[in-house]
Amino acid sequence: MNRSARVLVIVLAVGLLLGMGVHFDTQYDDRWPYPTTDAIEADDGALVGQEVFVSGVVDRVDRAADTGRILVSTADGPFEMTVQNFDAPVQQGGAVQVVGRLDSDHTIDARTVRVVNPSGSSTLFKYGVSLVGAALVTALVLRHWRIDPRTLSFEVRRDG
Amino acid sequence: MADLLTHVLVPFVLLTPLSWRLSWLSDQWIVLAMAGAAIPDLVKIRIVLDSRVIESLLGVPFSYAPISTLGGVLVVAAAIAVCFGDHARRAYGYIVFGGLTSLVLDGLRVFADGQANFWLYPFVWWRPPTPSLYVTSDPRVTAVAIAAAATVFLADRYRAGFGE
Repeated sequence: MNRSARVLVIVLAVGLLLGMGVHFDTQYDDRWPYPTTDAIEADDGALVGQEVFVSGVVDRVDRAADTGRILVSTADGPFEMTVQNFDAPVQQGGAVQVVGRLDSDHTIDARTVRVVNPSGSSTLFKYGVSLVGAALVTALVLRHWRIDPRTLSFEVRRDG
Repeated sequence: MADLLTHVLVPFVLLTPLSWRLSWLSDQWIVLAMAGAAIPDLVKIRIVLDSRVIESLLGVPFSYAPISTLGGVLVVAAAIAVCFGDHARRAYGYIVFGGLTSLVLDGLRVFADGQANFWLYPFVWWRPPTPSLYVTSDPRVTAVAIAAAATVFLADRYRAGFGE
């Protein structure tokens, strides 16, 4: 494949990715089977009683009252929700998914609470390990492949 | 999604034992599958370049989420594969394979309602059922992946030494 054909494929791929990104975002609200977090935040009572699914960062846990307060992201930034039946082994800064019935005042009567990150440090661990993975795969590719400056493409290293 | 290290180790663990039987499945192709496994993780570009920046440039709503879908893997893999010159077609297959292993692995993680995200987009808007096997930050997942990769690596070295 010559250089101009290669550039054309890459430009087409970037265009397709942008197109999919636009299509996905415009269709998502209609395809997601629950009210969106934007709709929940703006709700004036019309959504009360509906089942919702939200992800949020844990701000406070009250074990005695069996409730938790989570910060849920929207397009305009995070807002607070109170989760009843918050039975999950998670600390402040952790992340949870909640499915349950929406009550008034941004409160969810949780049916299921699943812990995604047990604490804030879990995210740090994940990113740290991911950096190791990125370094590993980069080193391995460059060990077996080299960039041919003449064709500006990867060629197999005969000594790889 | 699982961490990137786990993602890139899965194709290594799957393909290296196959390479013991298939002489044409050599290390340079296995590392391309490992690289392909990193494609869904490119969605993390949003950490450094917020989607709202793209939205303001395009003037329409935008999401990075398709990068972590079947369509995203097929498209990004094509852009990478053409950088492999005469090997582009073969490279594409291995890169896509690696990307698919990551999508399947991510499709097994915890979702509170028991259904994964729309990872088959754009071919179908469907959330496949997930067994909710693990949470993304569980170090035990990473430990299992490292242990499996170390076992395969040592077995591969042993075979290589045995063959000499």
